[in-house]
Formats: sequence, structure tokens, C-alpha cells
Amino acid sequence: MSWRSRNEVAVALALLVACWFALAIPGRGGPDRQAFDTTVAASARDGLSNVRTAWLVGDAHRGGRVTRTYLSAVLDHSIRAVATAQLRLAETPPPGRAQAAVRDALRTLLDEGERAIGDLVGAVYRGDTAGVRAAVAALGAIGDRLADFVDRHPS
Amino acid sequence: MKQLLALSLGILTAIGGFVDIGDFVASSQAGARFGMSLAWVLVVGVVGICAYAEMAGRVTAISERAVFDLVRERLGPRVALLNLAATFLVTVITLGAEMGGVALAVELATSVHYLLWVPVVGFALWVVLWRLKFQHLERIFSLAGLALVVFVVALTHLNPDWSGMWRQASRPTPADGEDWPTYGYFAVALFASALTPYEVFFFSSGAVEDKWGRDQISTMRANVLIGFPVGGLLSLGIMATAATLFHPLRIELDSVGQAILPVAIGLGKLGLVAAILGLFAATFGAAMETGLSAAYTVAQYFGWQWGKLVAPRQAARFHTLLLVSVLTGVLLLLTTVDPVRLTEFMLVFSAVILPLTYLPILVVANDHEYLGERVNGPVANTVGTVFLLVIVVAAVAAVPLMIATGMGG
Repeated sequence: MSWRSRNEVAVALALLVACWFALAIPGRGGPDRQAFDTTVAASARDGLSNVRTAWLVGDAHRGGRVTRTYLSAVLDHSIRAVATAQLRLAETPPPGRAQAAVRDALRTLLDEGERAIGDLVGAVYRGDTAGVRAAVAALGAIGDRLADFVDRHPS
Repeated sequence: MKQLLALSLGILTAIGGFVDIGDFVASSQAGARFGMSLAWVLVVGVVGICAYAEMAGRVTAISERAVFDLVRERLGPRVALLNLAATFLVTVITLGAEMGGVALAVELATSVHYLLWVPVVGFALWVVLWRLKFQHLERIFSLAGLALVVFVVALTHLNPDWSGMWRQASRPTPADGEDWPTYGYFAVALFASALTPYEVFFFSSGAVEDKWGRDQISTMRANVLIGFPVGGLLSLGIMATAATLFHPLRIELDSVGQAILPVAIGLGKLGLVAAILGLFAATFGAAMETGLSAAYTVAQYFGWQWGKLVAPRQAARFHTLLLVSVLTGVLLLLTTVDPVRLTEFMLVFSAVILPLTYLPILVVANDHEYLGERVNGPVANTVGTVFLLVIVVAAVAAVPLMIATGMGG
């Protein structure tokens, strides 16, 4: 193969790769409104997943089905994941007043979720059975409200 | 009796060694997001790895040389260098992900943050690779990986809706609220998890280490054709427990601890301990395999002395590569990249390079010069070609789907 034809093949390959990426990238873009909606939906889904995980593992702890080390590792992850969702939401400015109300509603739910997971961690640490029961019940209720929120705000 | 025992041990090793961090993450995430509607991908992936592992094993048993060695000879140094670069990069990323899986398993057992365990895991891995004989390191961890069978046992204790699961499995469409691109992204990740490139190179190089010959072909086939599909059932069990517990609650998984929770709920503390042990053994075993694979491929390409059977002093470059690969894995994790995220990246890039891994195997398996009359027959070629087409589709779709869905949302 001559150098010229090699160059042509290289240019053709480069164009192919460029087209390949161009095909993929439009899916990412979009106006601020779309970016905000996507962030809200993702934050709500992450909050729901981690609040319900804490609820499940808390309930399993009440039934004596998990070890203390496992419980601690899972709750630690849940609390960090909810905090990350809160941070992501806070970093995305709402494009309008209606969106600001949506953000505030979700922020309240995530704050309550984080607090309830914290309460569960504290109750487990103190060996407070009633406190664990209350925290698990609270997490169940917050999980249901987050699920409603996710239904109302799909991405 | 001795042969039967050896055969059973080989099959059990293949079953226990099937699941790695990629299978674990992809199966549990897919189960939680889509129920059982991606189960078909696992089945397709297992058929694919069986077809290509059989080819790789046959090539090695007849030629008594590792596949990568033959790929370089058959396709020339330039094509093989492209293959080597892609495979080595993905294998080292996989090694990092597996070591992350080990550290996460230890975190679940100790509640000490996984990052503190990463250097310890790296050191332990290097010591085990340095000191243990090949047969021992292959068998101990693969057999311990059988503990993952607790996922299948736990499934029966979670009272699953069997008919509902069958309905999901028989309708390969996205679950409510999910879209086709996300479904496609998880399908590609799940497919790549069954066909991770290091697997065939380790299988073939391990066969050379085990000194396989023509008379071991039937044993190799039994290991592949029984061991891998039963190993695939473990992955299916992981997917089914996630589908049973998490999917109805709409919980998406982003941690290894979550994925184990169904076992704790189904079987209690004993099951939980077995699941953590199984995860530890499966990821540690896979970390050894990926570390060795990385060193095998480079040493075979450059024609260096390689293998665990050779004294380290005689294969100094091979052992140095092994050490460098392990260190790279440790450094990768110490960047604080999330091991689960790293696994997701690894699966996507594995999918991209799959054709580079599997096309040369198909070419070599059809070469009369190496295999004589034991070249691929029409069935193996048909299955191999169909899978190659599927692999190419997955490779082309992987990056656009990753970008378009933001790695599955």
C-alpha cells in the first residue's frame, strides 16, 4: 500500500470515528430546562434508591439478619449517596419559578431522607430499639413520597 | 475414579470462577432496573463464551501454544500489537475493578473504608501470585467462589413471583419508565460481562501452564460446556434476587453492599457471610486471572519467557509485568474512582475491543497449519460467525449508548 493510499485510509478512519462520536453526542445536549429536569429526575431516583435501601437494611437489622459491620457499610454508602444527590441538585440552578418550587420540594424530601438515615445510624449505635423502629418507619414513609415525586417528574 | 474426580474438580472450578466483578455488577444492576427482561442477554453471552473458549482451548490443546502467541504469528506483529494494546489496557482496568471488588468485600466484613484496604489487597495479591502454584491459585479461589450459590438459595427464600419473572424474561422490552437506549446500554454491559477479553487469554495460557494436550480436549469441553453455563446460572441468580427485591421497589443499585442485601434478607447472617466470602473469592480469583492475563499477553507478544511454571528468575520480565500491573491497579483505585463506576467503564471498553479479541481466535481456529483436521467444523464456524456479528454490533453501539444515556442514567 502506498503512503498516499495509507493517508486516505487514515483520513477515512478518522472521519468514521468523528461521525461515530457525532452520532452519540446530540443525546447529551439540550437547553437548561432539559438539563434541570434531568438532574431533578436523577437526584430523585438516587434519593429514592438509597432511602429505600436504608429502610430495607434497617428492617433487616431489626430482624437480626445483618451483621453490624455490613449494616454500617451500607448505611454509610446510603448517607453519602443522598448527600451527593443533594449537592448535584444544589449545583443546578432552576430556569424558572415553577422549577424552583420543584427543586425545593425535592430538597425537602432529600433533607428528610438524610436526617432519617442519620437517625437510624444513631439509634443503631446507641442500641436504641425504639429509635431504630421509628427511623425505619420514617424511611418507609419518605421512600413512598420520593416514589410519588419520581412518578410526577420523569426525566 | 481419579479421572472423574479431576473432571468434577475442573467443572466446579469453571463454575466458581465464572462470576467476577463485571458479572456481579452488571447482573445485579440489570435485575434491579429491568427485572428479568435482560436475562436473554446472559444466555446469549454464555453461549458466546462457551463457543470461543472451546475454540481457544482446542487451539491450545492441539498446538500446545497459547492463543495470543499464535495470533501474533498468524496475523503479524502490527495487527497483534493493536490487539495487545487494547487488550492490555482493558485488562489492567479490569484488574483495578476486581481489586476494588475485593476491597469492597473486605469493607463489608470489617466496616473499614475500602480505600484503606486497597494497598493491602494489592500486596496480598502479589504475594499469592508470587508464592502459590498455578493449580492451587486457580482452584482455591474458584472453589470458594462457589459460595455465591447462596444467591440462588436466597432466591427461593424471597418468595419470588415465578410467573411474573418468567413473563419479564420472555418479553425482552424495557421496564415501565425505562427507555430503549438505557435498555440497550445495560444489554451491552451484560453481554460484555460474560465475554470479558481476559477470560479467553487466561483460559488458553492456563491450559499451557496445565500442560494440556490432545487427550485433554474432552475434559476441556466438559469444563467449558458444563462449567460455564452452570456458572452463568449464578449470574442469573444474582440478577433474579435483585429483580425480586429491588425492581418492585424501584431501587437502582450503585454499590456492592446493596447487591448482597437480598441474601441477608432471605437467609440471615449466615447467608450474608457466605455471600461476602463468595464475592471476596470471586473477585480475588478474577484479580489473579486478570493480573496473569495482562502479563501473559505482553510476554507472549514479545516472545519472552512466561508462566508460573518457570522460576521467577528465568521469567523476570513476566514477573515484573505482573508486579507493574498490580501496582497500576492499586494506583487506579487510589485516585478514589468508585470501583463500581470503574467496573461500568471497564464493561463498556471491553465491549468496544471484543472484536479485536474474538476475530483472531476464529481465524486461528480455522488454520489447518496449527490444528490439522481439528479445525472448526461448520457448527463452530456458524456459531462463531453469528457471535462475531453480535460482538461487532455491541462494540459499535457501546460508546454511543454510554454517552447518550449518561452510563445508564
